[in-house]
Amino acid sequence: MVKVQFLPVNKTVEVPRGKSILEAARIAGVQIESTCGGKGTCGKCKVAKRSANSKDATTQWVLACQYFLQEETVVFLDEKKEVSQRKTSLDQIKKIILEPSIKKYVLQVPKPSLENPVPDWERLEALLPDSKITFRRSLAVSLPRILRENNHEVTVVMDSMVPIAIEPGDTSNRCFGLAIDIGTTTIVAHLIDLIGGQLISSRGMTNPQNTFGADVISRITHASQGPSQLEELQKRVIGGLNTLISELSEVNAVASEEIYQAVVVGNTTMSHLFLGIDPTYLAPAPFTPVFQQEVEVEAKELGLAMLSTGKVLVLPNVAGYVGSDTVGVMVSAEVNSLEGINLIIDIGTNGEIILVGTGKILTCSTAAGPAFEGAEIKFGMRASGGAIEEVRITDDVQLEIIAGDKARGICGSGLIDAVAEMVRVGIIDPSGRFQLKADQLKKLPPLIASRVRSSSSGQAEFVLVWAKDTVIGEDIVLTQKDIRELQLAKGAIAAGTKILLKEMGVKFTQLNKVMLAGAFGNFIKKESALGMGLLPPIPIKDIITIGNAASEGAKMVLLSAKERIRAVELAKTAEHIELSNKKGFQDEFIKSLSLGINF
Amino acid sequence: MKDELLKALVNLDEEEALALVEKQIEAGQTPLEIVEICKNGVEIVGKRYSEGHYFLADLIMAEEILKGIMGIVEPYLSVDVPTNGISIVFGTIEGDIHDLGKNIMIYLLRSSGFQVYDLGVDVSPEQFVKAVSETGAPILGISVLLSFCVGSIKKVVDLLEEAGLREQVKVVIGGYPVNQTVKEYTGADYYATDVTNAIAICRGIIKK
Ligand code: B12
Ligand code: FES
Repeated sequence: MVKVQFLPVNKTVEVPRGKSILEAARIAGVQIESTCGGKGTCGKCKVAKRSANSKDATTQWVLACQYFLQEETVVFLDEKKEVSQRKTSLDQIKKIILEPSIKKYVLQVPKPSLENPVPDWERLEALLPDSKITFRRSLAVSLPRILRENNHEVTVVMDSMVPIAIEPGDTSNRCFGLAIDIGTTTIVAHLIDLIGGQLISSRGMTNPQNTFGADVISRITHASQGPSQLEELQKRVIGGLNTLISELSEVNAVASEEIYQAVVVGNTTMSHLFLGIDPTYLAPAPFTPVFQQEVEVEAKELGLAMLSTGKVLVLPNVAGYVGSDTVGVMVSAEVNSLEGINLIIDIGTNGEIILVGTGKILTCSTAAGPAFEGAEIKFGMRASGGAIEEVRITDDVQLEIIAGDKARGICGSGLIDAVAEMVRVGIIDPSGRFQLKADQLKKLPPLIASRVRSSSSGQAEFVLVWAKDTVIGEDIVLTQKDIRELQLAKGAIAAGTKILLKEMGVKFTQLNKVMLAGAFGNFIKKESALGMGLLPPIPIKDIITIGNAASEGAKMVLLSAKERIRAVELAKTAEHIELSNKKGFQDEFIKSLSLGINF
Repeated sequence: MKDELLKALVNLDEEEALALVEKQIEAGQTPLEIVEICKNGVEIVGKRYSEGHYFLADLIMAEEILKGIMGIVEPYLSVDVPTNGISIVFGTIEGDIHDLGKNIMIYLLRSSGFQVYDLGVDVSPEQFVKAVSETGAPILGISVLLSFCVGSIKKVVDLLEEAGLREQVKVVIGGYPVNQTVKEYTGADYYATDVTNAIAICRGIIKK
């Protein structure tokens, strides 16, 4: 066995000699990013490590999945809290009429007497508005004691007129719920006060299923291997959520038994895995989910850290790749009361697009791929400390870097900026090709021209940051292949948008608003997205960001039983357009690859 | 003039290329010679695509130009354009509907003289085996973009074995998740991630 210490989290584990650092991290419960699931191809698991045996050992950068432990080792991780902080900091609850399905009744139950020896349950039942409630053994268990120890004053917690808890005394001023957003990359839990209707606080973390690969397909592949692998994935996400919930409970002095309901949104794969339902047939065509309707289960069935008899509600999905997160977006954007024709896009690895108008709701999902998350990009990274998030090209390159002044890599919003700027100044042409001829280079400002070069492998590249200004000590470049990768992602989103417009029979000029949902939509520079034709060319003022609309929708459902009905209706109304068998998709896709406006 | 045509093709200059072909036909150049230049041209375009210099739209453009040229040349062709006589069965594996990569491969293989049987997308292992057995093709190309579907390629290889066809056909795979590990896992003979390499592999197979 060898000892491994992870810093700065300071966790130490012993693992058999020859295990990789990534495996050791898994055992220690420490997060290391691993987009390829440990195949050694994505490069995202890079960590600094040092031998623990000799004092003057040097620190080396290694791939955690490919470095096999032979001796006691110290591993340094950078904390990537910013990812989730970025995601949670955007939230605010829309104004809605508060009518949660959770209600509390404070009851002064009459004491029994010899003349009238009515059972405890019946005396209590008689005081409730709907006096015919089902007897629940689990609540009756401690009822006699609770009544008698509290002078017969109790509070009954009801969820849609079903009692879920009986609490001693008057607890009517405390009532909490959770809105949960399970993303493939990030999971977030919001603690909500159901009385005042406000958000108390939120916590997020990297989805702990991440060690099995970054995209849904790799998670499904793992789950498809058998019941124990499926259970492993379910445990991981629930374990992660429980960590978040216990943090929320502790910081806000809320007991887990005071959390009465949870509303969950996520893509269809994540919903399946959260419920422990086999997602295998979501991966191959025809991408069939096991269920589509809303699902309600008791928390104890899942082991979620809240009132065990409280309900966990997973919102309905629309199709295999249009999940309850999209339904959440539809709820929060109030698509049923929007004026005119509106387009909503959630840009991510899987871009979900909603087009609302002419009495219809059309949805599709388009496989943008991980470029927007910084994967498959040579120096790509998530939006965390050290990531270049904004790029401007003038006489030279100007950058904005998240939390710091030295760059480590580039995140999705930075990438879009960089490429849009490179096209604008002519480093690449709209087809995405580097302009390497001497006369083309001469037109560029000298400092910029000096950044365009051919790599040792003969590939053209652009130096964004010289080695001396980076954390990693090498030039941060964008390669021709990176640009191609971004074009594929851009092409998929733009083509999906065009197909929906065509399907509805409208032109982009008829669009009232384009709404960008999701964390990414908030950080992307609209000018750049418009400039490269990622979005239809409508006036920039009509492009608005709507924050983490999926989470927002979950919160609204938690706070209003009417919104829950609306969610179910919207999911039913929404038509799913399957792009993989749309005749025109391929042509649109290829046309949309160009980095100019081509709507 | 030959070089000029090649250059026009490679630079995707449609007008210039078509004009040159007209001129060359008038000047008495044989249509087969022109077809030969086109093949070389497409090969260079493919290479530039592999290097990332050209992209999908450029390949489509090349295809357009080629179609234009063939339109001019065909009336003068007394014989069919010769193929290299080698046939390839090609398709995207079961459960997978991605077909752009497959189509590009097929286009480039055809331009290099191969005779390609395109089985389309979502092709079951049984269909692949049936096609190999019916055509007697020495090469089977399988495209896979969804990592989930990699297992079905293994099934193709196993079924080929069972049918006693494994010896007569080389299995070449390619697509997003494909690498050395995937090749080994599926039991395929070769893999390629870029087109130049892919075509070189197919040529290499026949030479052996
Ligand atoms: C376009 C696209 C689509 C289109 C497909 C259109 C079509 N008719 O093919 C659409 C939108 C329909 C689609 C659907 C899906 N897609 Co898709 N798609 C892509 C995308 C963006 C580009 C693929 C592409 O066409 N590339 C261009 C071609 C030319 O390249 P290529 O296929 O790699 O082929 C080249 C080489 O690989 C090689 N090659 C290919 N085949 C062969 C075979 C042989 C024998 C050889 C030698 C060589 C070779 O040569 C080719 C030419 O250079 C990729 C992301 C990416 N960056 O690759 C995702 C991607 C492949 N899709 C993915 C997924 C998951 C899906 C979906 C299942 C789910 C989804 N929505 O995300 C859906 C299907 C369900 C649905 N309703 O959405 C994932 C797969 C992830 C994984 N781990 O398996 C990817 C990687 C995106 C991602 N990371 O999420 N997709
Ligand atoms: S390279 Fe290590 S997880 Fe991808």
